[in-house]
Amino acid sequence: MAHHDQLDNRLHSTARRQLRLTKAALLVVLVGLCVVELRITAWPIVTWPMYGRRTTVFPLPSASAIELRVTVDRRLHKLTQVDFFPMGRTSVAERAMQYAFDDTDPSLRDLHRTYLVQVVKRILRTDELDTLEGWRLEWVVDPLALPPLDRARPIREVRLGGFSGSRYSGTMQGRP
Amino acid sequence: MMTYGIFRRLNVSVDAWFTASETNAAGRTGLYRIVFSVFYLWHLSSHSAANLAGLPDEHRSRVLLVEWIQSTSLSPLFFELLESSLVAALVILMFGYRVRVATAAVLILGCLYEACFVSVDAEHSTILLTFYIPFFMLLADRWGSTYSLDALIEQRAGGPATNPGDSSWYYFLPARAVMVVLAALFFSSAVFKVAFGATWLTRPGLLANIILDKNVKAAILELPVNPLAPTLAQIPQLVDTLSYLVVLFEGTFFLALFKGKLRNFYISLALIFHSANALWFVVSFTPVLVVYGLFVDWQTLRERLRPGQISLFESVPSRSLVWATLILAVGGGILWNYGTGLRTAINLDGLLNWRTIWYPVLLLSLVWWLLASRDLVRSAGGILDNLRSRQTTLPADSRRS
Repeated sequence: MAHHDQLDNRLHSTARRQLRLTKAALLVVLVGLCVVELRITAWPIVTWPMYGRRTTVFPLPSASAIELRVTVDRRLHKLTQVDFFPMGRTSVAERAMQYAFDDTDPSLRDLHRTYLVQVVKRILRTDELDTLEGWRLEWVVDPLALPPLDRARPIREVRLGGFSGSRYSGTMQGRP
Repeated sequence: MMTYGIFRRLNVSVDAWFTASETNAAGRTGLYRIVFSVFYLWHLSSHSAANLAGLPDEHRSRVLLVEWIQSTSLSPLFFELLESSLVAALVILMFGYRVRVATAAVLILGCLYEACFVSVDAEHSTILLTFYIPFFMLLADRWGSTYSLDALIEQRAGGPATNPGDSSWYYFLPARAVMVVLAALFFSSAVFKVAFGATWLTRPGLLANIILDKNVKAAILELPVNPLAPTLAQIPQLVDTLSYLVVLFEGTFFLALFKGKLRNFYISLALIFHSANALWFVVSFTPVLVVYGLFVDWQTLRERLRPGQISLFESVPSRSLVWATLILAVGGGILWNYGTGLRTAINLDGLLNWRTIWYPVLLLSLVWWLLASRDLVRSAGGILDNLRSRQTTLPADSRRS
């Protein structure tokens, strides 16, 4: 008790209020962290569930990635997922490129094409794009070798499709 | 009554922990404000929020903070304005003008900005940078007390000057609060590796496969591959030991809450852990780096680099300094999305990126960890010696009595 009283006397009112506020905020955060589990809905109250439920297999004997080949004034530019978003957030770019060359749902494909045209214009700092082509590059993988694949020599380059930049230069429209 | 007593005692202990003094608390917190702002600007230099504009809803997850925004229909201009405003707020915060307002602006704009990214792709390491640090700094409202325009203006108006060597606890209150959150987050990581359907310790070869998989990813992304990955993956005992060590480290990180040797040991170890992850396992957890800066005594470093008081702007009128800060903030905000000049100047044309920043950190944290380990072993030895000497003196005392 005596110790607590001494402590109370040491703190002047502002600092004491700040301490109370900080403790209350921490309590809310800690309770929040116990409640949210793996959900990101309540961001920034999120936990760190890294690799907790990961199920992996030994890497497959082949790997692939999508490359966007863009022609501007007859010059070819090759873009990959890392050109769109910073490291750690690149998977969304890979998915967007997949959708843009997937004819299963034409309206969804067109939305992604319009999106890609907008972003590529910004990345290449140009107002006009001639053509955009999606290519899937495939490599042979030896996971136990160094390096595990020869990045410069893909075994296969499959053209997923292509479209004209001017055709998808309009502003984003809602899905029909 | 007994439960109340327990809570009261717990509260007293918590207060005692929060109110312990910290060397150079005032000065290091003020300098940390500058470090934080520069780091945040560097972090933003590799992001372009305008690339989120028009991204179809198929890629978005529900995040309450930005649920009210129809993000698909937002124009690139909105994101550019948001980004530029955040940059301007960070410049003002860096110079320490109207620190409380600037911190609030950084907190609100930063959370809005980051939440837009999180709704598309959750990157868990950014919460300390974008939310917890500015949030607790705002609550405590102390990081503008030193090395700031606010402090200079107040001093010139006859107000009291804060001594950077002041060790009062309230300057370090937000750092301790952030440390509690960091420990809780690390603990959650350990919990999700051992419970709630976790596979980390139960699935044979999981870590070995992750290590190899990361090497394939590194090769595809044209990053340096991990030369030890194939060897590591082929020694199951080593990989299993690593898996347990990771859980042990994350689960016991809360020991860093103890001041002194244990804190130094765990923080240096955490930095080595993050460095190894970034450099050899393609784990981009880089924004977390800023949190460890809270536990560096920037004041001592500053004094070693430039002993004595800094009086750079002694002869410049306050009004000129304020205007210069505001002009720099507005200019920085405008130039941020005008070409790439400012961004490339900050990240040295990509030379200082999410990965390369860890090279110097690894080197310094290895030295720090070795020193901290030596101190820890010495103090453990001291405790053991004390115990031994007590055991040998006790029978003699009892014989005498």
